[in-house]
Amino acid sequence: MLKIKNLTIEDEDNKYVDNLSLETNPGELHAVIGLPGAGKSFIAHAIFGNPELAVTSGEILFKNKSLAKKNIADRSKLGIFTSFQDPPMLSGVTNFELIRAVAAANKDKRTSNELTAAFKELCKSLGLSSSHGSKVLDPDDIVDTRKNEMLQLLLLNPKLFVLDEIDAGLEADDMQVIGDHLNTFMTSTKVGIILTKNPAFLDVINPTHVHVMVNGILATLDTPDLYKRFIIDDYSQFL
Amino acid sequence: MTTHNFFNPDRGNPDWQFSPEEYYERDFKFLGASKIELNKNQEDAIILRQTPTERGLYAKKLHIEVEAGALLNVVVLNDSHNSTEQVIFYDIHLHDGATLNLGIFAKNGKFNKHIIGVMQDSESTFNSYGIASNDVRGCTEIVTKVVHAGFQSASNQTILGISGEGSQTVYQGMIVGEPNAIGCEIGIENVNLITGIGGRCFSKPETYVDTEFASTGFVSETVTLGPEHLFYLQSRGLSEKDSKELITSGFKNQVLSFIPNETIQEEITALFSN
Repeated sequence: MLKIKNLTIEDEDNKYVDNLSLETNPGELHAVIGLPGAGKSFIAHAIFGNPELAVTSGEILFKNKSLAKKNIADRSKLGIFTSFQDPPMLSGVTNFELIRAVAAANKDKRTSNELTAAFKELCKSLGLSSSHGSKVLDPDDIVDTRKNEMLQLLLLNPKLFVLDEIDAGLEADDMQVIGDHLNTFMTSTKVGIILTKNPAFLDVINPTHVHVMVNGILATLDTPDLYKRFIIDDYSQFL
Repeated sequence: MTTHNFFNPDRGNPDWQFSPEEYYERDFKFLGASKIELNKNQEDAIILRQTPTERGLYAKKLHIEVEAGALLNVVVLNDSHNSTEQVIFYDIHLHDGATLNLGIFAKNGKFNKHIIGVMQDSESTFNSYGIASNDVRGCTEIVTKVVHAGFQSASNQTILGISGEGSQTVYQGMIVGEPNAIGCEIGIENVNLITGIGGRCFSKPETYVDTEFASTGFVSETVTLGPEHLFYLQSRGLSEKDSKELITSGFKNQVLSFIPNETIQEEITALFSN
């Protein structure tokens, strides 16, 4: 479904992604693990179409069509969702108002009552408070922030999703909640890419493919559970 | 026709480098004064719609007198033309136990300044809320000077500033607690949003408290609508235009909820949506 071909992102000072290629097919959940600074988030930014990214070569295809000329909103409407590692604070915009605006922008067919009911049910399931909808998200509340990104994923139901450090800063219980929802969400028609620095999160989800990223270079493990055989303090051993 | 100079620095006007210095030492034509009085223990609500059409530099004055125990709600809707250059001076006296809820919603103008002077007697309450907004490369200002002269008086201000490309908003709130204002409560919240390149929001809350058992608190924050806000919303399918609209309307909602009347809320929402 998604193909990244020979992608390089660099500027005068650094090469952030080095000739990266990745091919995904429906039903696959790809995990990319690597230390902070390895370049994982650049994958997310390249897929969602950050115009400030210095892509110097390569291309990204979604369903065999190039995304090069698609802006951020257009890519979202194709069915691509990217969670943000650090979502910005939107003063005065409540969590439910945001969902309502997003649903409208995506011409969601659900009625207002149906959307409200779905929102409340997911809040309960994810362990968010019953007043989550009327609150303005505080980015300093890590648990709420991560779960709110999951909430949006589950409500928008995209075909391709990229989750950037969705587990970062979470205790084991909350990580399990995220993982359980992710495992339930995955179907034979979806593709997911999980970016994380924490191998323990891979124990919670069921990746079909595991890749390691070091200094912008991506290497794919022969089998997904290979990461368990090594103590992960130096990912360069995988290159 | 008398003239006034409202820009004597001793009156506590902003004196930092980005002030509209061209207006210092210039005289404004004083066009006249109005008065609102509310008798003891009465209640009333007033909406003042200001759509100035006068040319040149001019000033107007509104005197508000709220007698003991009375409750007055005033909402000012000021929708100024790009070329408007005006100062509106609000001279307010709250007697013992009086309450004034004052909403000021000032939009655009080349120079659109609202100076609010309040004298508070014992156990009076002054709640002020509003928006100073400018996106026509002008300057919109809300300047308040509140004097707590009596015991257990309370004042709370929640003012938002929104400035667009090449535009400016100013909030200056000077609060004075005099020795007799024992137990007074003072709160200021000024939050600003810069939505365009070269936009500026200035915030200067000041409190001078010379009494016992007073409680004061203020918040001043300025946020720039940056690419990360837009990218985030666009990545959820919103267009750039809709993303900006969602952020600015959410921002404004922080004070719209103070307006007791839904019809007025809708009118103000429409005013600031254009």
